[in-house]
Amino acid sequence: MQCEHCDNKATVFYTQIIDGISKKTKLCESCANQKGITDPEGFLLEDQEVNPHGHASAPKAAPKVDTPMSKQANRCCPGCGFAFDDLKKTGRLGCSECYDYFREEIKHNLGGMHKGTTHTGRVPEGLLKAYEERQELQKLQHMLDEAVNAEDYEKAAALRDEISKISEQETSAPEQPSQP
Amino acid sequence: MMRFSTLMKHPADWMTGVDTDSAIVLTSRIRLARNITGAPFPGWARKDERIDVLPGLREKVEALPEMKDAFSHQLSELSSVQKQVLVERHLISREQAARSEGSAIVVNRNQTLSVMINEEDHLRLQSICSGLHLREAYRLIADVDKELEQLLPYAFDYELGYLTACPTNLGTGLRASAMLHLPGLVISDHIGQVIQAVGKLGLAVRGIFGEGTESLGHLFQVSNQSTLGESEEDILDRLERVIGRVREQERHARGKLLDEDPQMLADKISRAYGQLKYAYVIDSKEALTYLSLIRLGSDMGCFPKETTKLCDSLLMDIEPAHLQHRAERKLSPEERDTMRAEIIRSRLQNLSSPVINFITH
Repeated sequence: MQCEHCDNKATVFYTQIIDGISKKTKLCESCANQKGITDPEGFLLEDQEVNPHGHASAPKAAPKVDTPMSKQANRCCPGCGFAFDDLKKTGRLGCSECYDYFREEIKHNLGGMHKGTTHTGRVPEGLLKAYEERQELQKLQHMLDEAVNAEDYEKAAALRDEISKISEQETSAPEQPSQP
Repeated sequence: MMRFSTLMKHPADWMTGVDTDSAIVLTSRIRLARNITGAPFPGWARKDERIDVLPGLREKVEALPEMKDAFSHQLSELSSVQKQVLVERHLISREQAARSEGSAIVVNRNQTLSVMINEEDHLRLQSICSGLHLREAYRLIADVDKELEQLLPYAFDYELGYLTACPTNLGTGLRASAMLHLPGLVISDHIGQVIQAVGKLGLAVRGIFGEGTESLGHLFQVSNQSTLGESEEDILDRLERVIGRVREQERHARGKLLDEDPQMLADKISRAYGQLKYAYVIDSKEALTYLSLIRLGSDMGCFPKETTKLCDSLLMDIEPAHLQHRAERKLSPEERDTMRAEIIRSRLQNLSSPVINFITH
C-alpha cells in the first residue's frame, strides 16, 4: 500500500474521528514522523490538513491508532479537543479550559485525592481583589440563606440589597480578569 | 550563560550536606506546578505547539534576577548522559529527561532553584535547601512565582486554584518533600511502621528518586499528597511536624541500637568501611548501602564530622550517569562497577578506621 503523501510504502495506519466521522489515513514512516503521529511525546494525533486552525476550532476527538469508531458521544473541550475519556487513559487534562468544561466531572473525582475541593491557598496578586469579593459574596449568600430559613425577612432584605450592590460593581469588571 | 562543565564542577551546597542539621534530613525541596492560559498542557500539545510556547516562557524565566548567568538549555541540546546527570542531581525530573525538543531547563548559578519548562506542566518551579528547612525553600520559590505571575497569564481558577495538567496537583500546585536518611529505623526493623503511620497522615514515603523508585542507601523521600483544600502554610506545617517526628524516631532508634546491640552496630559500620576501602568492583546498591553505614558512623562519632559531607558528595558521584560523564563515554555496567570502586577507594584513602567508643566492657 502506498503512502498518501509520497511514493513510499505506507506502514502507519491510523483512524481519527472528527465530529463523529471517521477518516482513515495511510502514511509512510517519514510522513508520519513529520506529522508528529509517531512522536511518543505528542498525544494529540491530529491531522492538520483536516483542521488547519489547530485547537481554536470545532471540537474533535483524538484519533486512535487502528481502532476505528470508538465512542462518539464523548464530549470534547472546545479549547483543545480533549475528550473526558482521555483522562482515564492519560491521567492528565488537555488545557486549562478543560477544567471549566468538565468542572463537575472533575470535582466529582477530587474527594479521594485532596483534603478539600476548594482552593484555600495563595491567589495570584492580579486576581486577589476579585477573589476576595467573590468570597465576600459567597459569605453573604450563605447568611441570606440562613436568614430566609430563620424567617428573618428584614435581615434577608438587607443582605439581598448588599449582595446586589456588590454584584453590580462586579459586572462592570470581568468575572475572571485576564492577567497581563 | 553557565556551562554544563561549570555546573558539574561546582555542586550546590545542599548536595554536599553543608547544613549542620542535615545528619538525618538531608534536603528540603519545594515544587510549584504552574500553567498559562490559552495553550494546551505540554503532554497534550502537539510538538509544534510546545515549541511555539517555549521561547515566551523561557525568556521570562531567564530574565528573573534570580536567574542571572543561569544554566539554561533546551533538553534537545543535552546528551542523554547530561540529562541523566541532571536527574541524579535532582535538578530535573525523570519525566523531563525523557523529553527533547520544546522543553527547557533553567537552573540558577548556585543550583538552589530550577525551572523546568514544558515538563508535565508549562512550568515547574523548584527550590532545594539542605537540612529541614521547608519554609525557607518555599520562600525562595514563592519569590520566583510572584515575579512570574506579573509577567505570565497563569491559569488560575477561583474554586480549583492553580490549574495543572494532572488533577492531583490542583489548588496550590505545591509539592513539598524532604530527603531522610533512616538507617536506624531500617536496621531496627521499625521502618515499616513509620511508613505506615506517615501514610495514614496523607503523606507519601518514596525511594530516593521519587515515584516508583526503590529505597537505596536507607534514603527516603517524604512528601505531601494533597494540594487542594489546604493553604501552603498548612501543608508545610503538617509536613514539617511529621518529618520532625520521624527524625526523633530515627534518633530514638539509633540510641536504642547503641544501648541494646552495640556490637552489631560496630560490626556493620566497620565492615562497611572495610568493603568500601578495599573493593575493586562494587555495584550501585551495595555502595549506597555501605555509604549509608559510614554516614551513620559519622553521626555516631566513629569518623570525623566532615565524613558526612564526603558521603553526600560520593552518593551523587557514583551514580551511573555521573560516572559516564567523568569517563566521557558510555560505560558497561561492569565498567561502572570498577570505576565506582576506584572513586570510592580514592576518596576514602585518608579516612582512618572507625573509632568505636560506644562499646563498654
